[in-house]
Amino acid sequence: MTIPQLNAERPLTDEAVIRVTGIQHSYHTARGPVPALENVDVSAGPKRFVSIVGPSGCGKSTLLMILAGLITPTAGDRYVAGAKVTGPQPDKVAVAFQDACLLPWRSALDNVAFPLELRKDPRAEREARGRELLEKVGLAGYADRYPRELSGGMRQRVAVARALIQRPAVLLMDEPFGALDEQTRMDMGEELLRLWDEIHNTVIFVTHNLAEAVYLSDEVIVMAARPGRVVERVLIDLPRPRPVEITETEKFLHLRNRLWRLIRSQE
Amino acid sequence: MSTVDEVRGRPVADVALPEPERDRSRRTLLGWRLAVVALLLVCWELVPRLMSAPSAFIVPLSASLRAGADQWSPIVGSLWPTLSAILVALVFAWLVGIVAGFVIGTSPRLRFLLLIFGALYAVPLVVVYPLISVWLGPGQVSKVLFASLYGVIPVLLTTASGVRSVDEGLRRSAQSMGASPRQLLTKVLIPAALPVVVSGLRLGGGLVLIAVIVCEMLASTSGGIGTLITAYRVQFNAGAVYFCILVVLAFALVMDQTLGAIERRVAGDAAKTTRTQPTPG
Ligand SMILES: Nc1ncnc2c1ncn2[C@@H]1O[C@H](COP(=O)(O)OP(=O)(O)O)[C@@H](O)[C@H]1O
Ligand SMILES: [Mg+2]
Repeated sequence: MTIPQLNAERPLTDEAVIRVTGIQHSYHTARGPVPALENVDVSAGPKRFVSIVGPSGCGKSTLLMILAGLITPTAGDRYVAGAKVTGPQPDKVAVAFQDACLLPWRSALDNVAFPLELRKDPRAEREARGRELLEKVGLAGYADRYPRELSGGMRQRVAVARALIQRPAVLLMDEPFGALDEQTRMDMGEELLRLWDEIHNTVIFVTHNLAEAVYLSDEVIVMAARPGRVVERVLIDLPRPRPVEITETEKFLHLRNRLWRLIRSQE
Repeated sequence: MSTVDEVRGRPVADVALPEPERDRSRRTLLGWRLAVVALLLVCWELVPRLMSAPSAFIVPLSASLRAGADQWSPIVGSLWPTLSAILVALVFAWLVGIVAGFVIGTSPRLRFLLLIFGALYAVPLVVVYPLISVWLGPGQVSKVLFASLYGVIPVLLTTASGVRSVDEGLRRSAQSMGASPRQLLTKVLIPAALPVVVSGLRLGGGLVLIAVIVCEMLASTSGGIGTLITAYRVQFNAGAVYFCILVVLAFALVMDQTLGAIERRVAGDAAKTTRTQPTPG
């Protein structure tokens, strides 16, 4: 395993590209505050693939939205590339949600290029980069299709392409393949790794599928519910690149079972 | 470069009717409608003639048309006061309704206003017209104000509900991509809410027309088709009353068809591009 290298052009106060400390969050509802996270510290180094697993309701999505700057935590600090975060940072952090969240009245190409349009890049450049990204996710021939004309897996690829067009240092993904069937999910995981090999940024990937977490990640953060908290960080020291057959090795199964026991013991 | 050229997903079948078939079914529907209208007109002509005791207020179609021709110049002269009041009130009702609906729909702190407007919607607002006409006189200004007030409420309510029903995920993902509040409004919220907003415009349009005619009927000096209807009624000129009613119907029909066409178009575009949920499993 390689030791994470500091990026000389972008000096960091520490080696984490993204880091949150002492995060506490409660949702305010009509029936009073609902505690979602308690004293959570999470960080990810450059070019690391980190997954977050845990039972539903343990605050994974909340944590991801806090990392994305989409909700402000009740307490705690957030840093991206060493700088304190107060809101969304489209030039550094991109998000892909479980629901692809595509704009239904825009074609695949216009959806992928949307972040560049918000940035007011020139049209020709938006189109060129949009097509390039669509090609990268295997949808070169689908630029003019509308979201409803695409399958669930294709919509998710469009969402990933749209996130990558931001050239993010950190890519946050909230159960991006959660709504897909098992076969498509495996294919998408494989392709994600291939893409990531090229881009090699930091990924934080929320999932409830433990095999998926082991297959993709350098480390897995295990969370527990009530209150939402981190219980363990498990290092996944499987070699890369990872062919799909790796999921049948003893080491893989051992890691997966370890995660499973960790989650079971919290219930 | 590891590009993936094999696409494993498959396009979802489009279940919408093919274009020519839809056109044909629309033409059949139009044919039926015309047949019904023709039948009604024939009945209108025949039934009064066949009645044993002719009544002053039930006159055949031909007599109504003759009365209309006799009263041609006052009727033509009152078209513009009615039409202009409707058009101006429409603009006010739509503009104010859309803007206020968006503001209220997007701000949680103003949501309570929806309850108030919802309650107002149920109140027969006609009761305030006498007040307005006393304050502003019975002319165009009070007509427009009253009709705008009447039409603005459904526009506001539907716009607000349209905005509120925009998927939270769309909002969030646009924000994560760096959308400013203004971009969020123009590039996400407005297009997403558009089909619902347009249906509100149609409702508001109908109410504006009703309100203008009612104002005119209530105030004998306000001018317009409504005022003429009242005048002919007082003069027992039933044929002219019927003719004026036909004119109002024509107004309503043209307006509703126009708004309906716009609504279908917007809804059609939306249906063509509506996001369908990914099918799990
Ligand atoms: N908008 C919200 N309002 C109130 N409570 C919420 C809201 N979103 C999430 N919660 C609560 O916060 C907790 C964590 O939710 P979430 O982050 O969605 O968990 P996960 O993604 O792990 O399933 C849950 O108990 C959930 O009910
Ligand atoms: Mg979640």
